[in-house]
Amino acid sequence: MLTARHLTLSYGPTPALRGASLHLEAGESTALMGASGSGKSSLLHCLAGVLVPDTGDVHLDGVALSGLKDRDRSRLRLERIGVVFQHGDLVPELTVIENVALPLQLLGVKRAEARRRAQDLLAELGVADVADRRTSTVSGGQAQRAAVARAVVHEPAVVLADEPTGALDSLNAEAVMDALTTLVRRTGAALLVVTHDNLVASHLDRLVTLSDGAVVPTGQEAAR
Amino acid sequence: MTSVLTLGLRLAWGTREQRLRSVAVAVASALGSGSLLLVWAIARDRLLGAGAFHSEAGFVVVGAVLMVALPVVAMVATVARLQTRGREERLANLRRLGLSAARTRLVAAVEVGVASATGVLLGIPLYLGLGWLTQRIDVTGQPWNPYLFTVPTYGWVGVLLGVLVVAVLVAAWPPTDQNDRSVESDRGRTDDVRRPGLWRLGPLLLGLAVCGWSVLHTFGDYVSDAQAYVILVGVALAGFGLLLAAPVLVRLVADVGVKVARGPVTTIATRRLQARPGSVLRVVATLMAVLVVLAGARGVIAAFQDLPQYEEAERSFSQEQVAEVSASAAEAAGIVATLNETPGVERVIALPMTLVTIEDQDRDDESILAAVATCAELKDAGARVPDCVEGRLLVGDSRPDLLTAKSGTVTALTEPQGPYLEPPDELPNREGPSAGLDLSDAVTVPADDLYDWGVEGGVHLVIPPDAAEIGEVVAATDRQLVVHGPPGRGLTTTLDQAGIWSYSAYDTADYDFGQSMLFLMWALAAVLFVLGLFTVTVALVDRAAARRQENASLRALGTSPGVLRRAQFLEAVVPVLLGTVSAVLVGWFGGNAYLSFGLVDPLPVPWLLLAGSVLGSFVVAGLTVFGIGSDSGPEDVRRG
Repeated sequence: MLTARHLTLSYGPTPALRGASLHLEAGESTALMGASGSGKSSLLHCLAGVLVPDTGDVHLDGVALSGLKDRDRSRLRLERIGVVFQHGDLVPELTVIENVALPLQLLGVKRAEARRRAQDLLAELGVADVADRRTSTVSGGQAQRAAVARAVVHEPAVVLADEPTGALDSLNAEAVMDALTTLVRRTGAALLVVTHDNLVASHLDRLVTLSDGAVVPTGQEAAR
Repeated sequence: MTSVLTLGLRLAWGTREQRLRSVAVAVASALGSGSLLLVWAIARDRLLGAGAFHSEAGFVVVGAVLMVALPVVAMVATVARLQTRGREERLANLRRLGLSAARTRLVAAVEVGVASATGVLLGIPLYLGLGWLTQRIDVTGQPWNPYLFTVPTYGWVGVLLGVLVVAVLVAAWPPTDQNDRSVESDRGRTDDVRRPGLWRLGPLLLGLAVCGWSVLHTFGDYVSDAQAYVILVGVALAGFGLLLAAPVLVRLVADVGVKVARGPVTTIATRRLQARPGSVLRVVATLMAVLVVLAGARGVIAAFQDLPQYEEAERSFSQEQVAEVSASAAEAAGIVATLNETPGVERVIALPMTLVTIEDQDRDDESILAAVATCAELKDAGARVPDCVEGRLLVGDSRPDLLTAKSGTVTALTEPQGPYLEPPDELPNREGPSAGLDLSDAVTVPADDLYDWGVEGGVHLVIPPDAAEIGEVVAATDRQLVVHGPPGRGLTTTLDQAGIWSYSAYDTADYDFGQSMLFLMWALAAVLFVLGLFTVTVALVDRAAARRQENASLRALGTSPGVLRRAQFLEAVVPVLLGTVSAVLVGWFGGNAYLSFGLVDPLPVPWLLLAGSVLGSFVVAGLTVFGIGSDSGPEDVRRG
């Protein structure tokens, strides 16, 4: 499914990744943990094709992301990858339903159809009542559930979440994680969640630890 | 208190971004104060020194200064609120630390005030330097007056303090909703999309109504002061009202756009416009003001250019100067010789001037002024009589008695009385020789051809020199010497210095005032253009920085750079296009309203300016997409 091999990445003189490798399988959920500055988000953005590693490769279904042009990487990301950020990062000027329908519209789905599918998903996540409100007028928990809906509405092969519950209280965090894992399991996508929270990690199938820019070898990883 | 001041200074000069922001505030304050002082001085010198319309000149000076003041306020306000989000988060953090609201605002005021005060002080040498350069410009030979090229004391105080106060007030203004949200533990749930109030349409509608009334109303020969002021206020209301009303219009377009939007590009662009309909307009407000001035001031200039004395002066400056000297037959040759030797005199045409009475008319009651000249001499003297026929009398078509007369008497004038503004009621001397005149074969020509030329007042009749029996009359009669000089001013002064009393038809005061208005208009346009360009530049850089994270997250979703750029372009082009085109149309309408009470032909639709506005809007909108959607930097995507 999604494989990263020996990724290195530096921001100027500061190394962020030092040979990180990771493999995600369809239908499997993975927690990526590590201390602040260990390179978790950098790894996630390399996996998403947002950042191109200095060395190493990321392959999605056998396609090397680093070999693609920016435009093609964007298209691949749009079709095959869903992303959730810590603060949702919804477009503040759009309504909740417009945010969720956005990936579908970008993929060329007709507006009415995109809104219908977005509305269904929002209803499933219990936030249909705020569908027509701007994201800046809803609570953090509601916004984050909308962000989850936006990440999975087009049924991507991989969902990457960067501390999706980091800004939420425990109740909302629980609800968001339940929604995320339920939806991902149903679609059979691979899920990677960057988190500091052991409780969040407990929702997921396996745990990967990143330290100083490299994945700490575990029995599971070594076996892969 | 000291700690608050220190904190303000640290915030002004702490990080690289803060230093850039402070420099931008200082530059904006310098440009603002310098340009206000410069326009004030130019307006005073050009208008008060022009020697005409003294009572109106004061209003125009105030209007010119206000015209620059508005864009200066917009520019300083825009720059003082740069990096709003980050700045308000910093200030909100101070509130969290326990700083009172008043002290937090004081920190903000100090942060911006120091930079603005520095800029205001830099505005003084900027004004002096630009003023020195301006006074090197030749405006149709009108000298610059160092006593008028000044700003009154209250003006200095008003400008220097005003710019500083605007910057400080804007910086210390109560936090926006973003700030409120940043200090809330639960992220804000208030609606941050404020619909611009419909009251904003009021001044524009009122101004347009007054202009409409002015254009449709038929004014007689007399326009009262009250009517004139109402119209001028209406024009001003329309211009300033447009700036106020533009966000409402943009919001209206955005609302319609949201309803009809089908794709992600239009959805994103129209939703952003809905959320902040005035943000781009604030940036292009100065450009809108430029266009209103350019489109509208043409009306004011056209009103001046329609004055006959302006046209005469224009001819003197663009073609040649003409003056007249009266001389008796005896002294004419000597005066012509003196004139020909006078520097600045190019040629002298001597035309015998006579009086004509027709048939049984009593010459004591009514006489007609007539020149004796060939067609060539007429042309040489500056008259354009295309229907002139050599050897035939020419009769202007304005006097029915002349047109029907068959004969008359021509009498010599023997005591020159100066230029004949009208056929004199009291004839100078009627005792000169007379001769009969056959009018039956006269050629009728348009009266204006004989009346509107170098000889002030012109004549009603032109007699060919070879007309029968007039030799004795011509030999005895006075001469009108038409003196020609090169284009420019000062011919009459030159003749005075040569001891020759002369008269010139044109009045330079009106011409100078019109030219001063024209110069002031271009100076205003140039100043406003510079202010607008600076405001647009800094605002666009700030906007691009503010959108960087949002665009980075959209890119992470897989949104292509093209989609982001098209959305940004659409978001920018709608308000800029709406603002600039409506500014041209409102300015044009206002200009016509002004012209309507001067009985001057209306201005044609300024198609060129409209086309330029459309093109310019696309260029400005195109500039806003630079850097949008490019690869995100680490700071935009790094979270862990």
